[in-house]
Amino acid sequence: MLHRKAVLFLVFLASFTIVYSSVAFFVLSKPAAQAFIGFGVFASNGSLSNYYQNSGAPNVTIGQTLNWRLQIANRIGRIQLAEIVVRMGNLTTIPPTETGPSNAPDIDESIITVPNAENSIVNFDWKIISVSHPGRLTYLTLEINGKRVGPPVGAVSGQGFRFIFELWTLEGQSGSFQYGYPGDNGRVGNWLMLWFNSAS
Amino acid sequence: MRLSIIFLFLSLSLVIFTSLPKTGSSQTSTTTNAWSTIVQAFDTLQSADSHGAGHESVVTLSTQLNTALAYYNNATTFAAQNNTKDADHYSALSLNVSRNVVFEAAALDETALNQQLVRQELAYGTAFGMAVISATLTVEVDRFRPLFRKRKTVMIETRSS
Repeated sequence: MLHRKAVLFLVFLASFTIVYSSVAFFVLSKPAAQAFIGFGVFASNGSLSNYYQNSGAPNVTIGQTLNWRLQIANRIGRIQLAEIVVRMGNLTTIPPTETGPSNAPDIDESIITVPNAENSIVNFDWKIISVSHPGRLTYLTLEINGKRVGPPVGAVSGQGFRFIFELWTLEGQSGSFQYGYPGDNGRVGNWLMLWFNSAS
Repeated sequence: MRLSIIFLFLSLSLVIFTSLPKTGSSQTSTTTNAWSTIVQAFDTLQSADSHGAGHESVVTLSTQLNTALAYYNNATTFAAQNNTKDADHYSALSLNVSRNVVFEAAALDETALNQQLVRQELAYGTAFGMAVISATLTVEVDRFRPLFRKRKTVMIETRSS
């Protein structure tokens, strides 16, 4: 009788332990949420439009300063070290994809930490300093965040330039920046693109 | 004969290579050192964050790490201009800030890890305790039945009177 009771007790103990441990595990676990990083570019007035401060075509004149703000919203669940790679392209540039970056030349980089559930802002102040026409194409000399750059990218009649902003994040295992961010099912590419013409 | 010529050539190359002026090597090593400390600080902070460290503490250390990154950015800009003095100065500033972040983030990580362990011990300990109580009550339900019956009869008696 006593032996039967002991066996019964052990069976019930095991069963109840499984049930209550499951409840404890559920209480301790973080609520399920989709991991993502939001990436946006805002005009100087804080809106997602009127980037060129005119209502017409995206024409930028020499010396016209544009103050854009790149915002990174981290909803991954832990702090991220993000790098924004700025590239300059033209009509023939291959854009970034979900899995890989663009082939356009890298003209600027900014690195910033973004805590979870927070937004970080990177300034992107730029202007065209000068325009040159060594051949059939138009080349620009730019000033980005106070640094002078001369991208090796030309455009016919100064039409169809584009800025490509790619989001890269530091991967702990490799210790290097990787394109995109760590999503639920592998890395996810995140990029923005803005076209402009040189109206000189 | 050939071997001795090769050996002589290699020895001469080694002597020339080691006697070359070290232009720019120090600035490269200091900026590299500054960067590796930033990565170490970030890894430690991310670990603390994953272990459930306080959000405000993580945000504060993140702001400090951004300051270290700004100094590092200045250092690389000066290094590109071959301005070793300013590059070293900003690398040192970056190192100073990021080392502090490493130190504070490590302490934060340890606290977070301990608190996580305590929470787990408490939760699973309570679960086991409740399992023991539940199993005992279920097995010994016969012992408690008379108690319930007594109470029932007492209640019925009081109602009828």
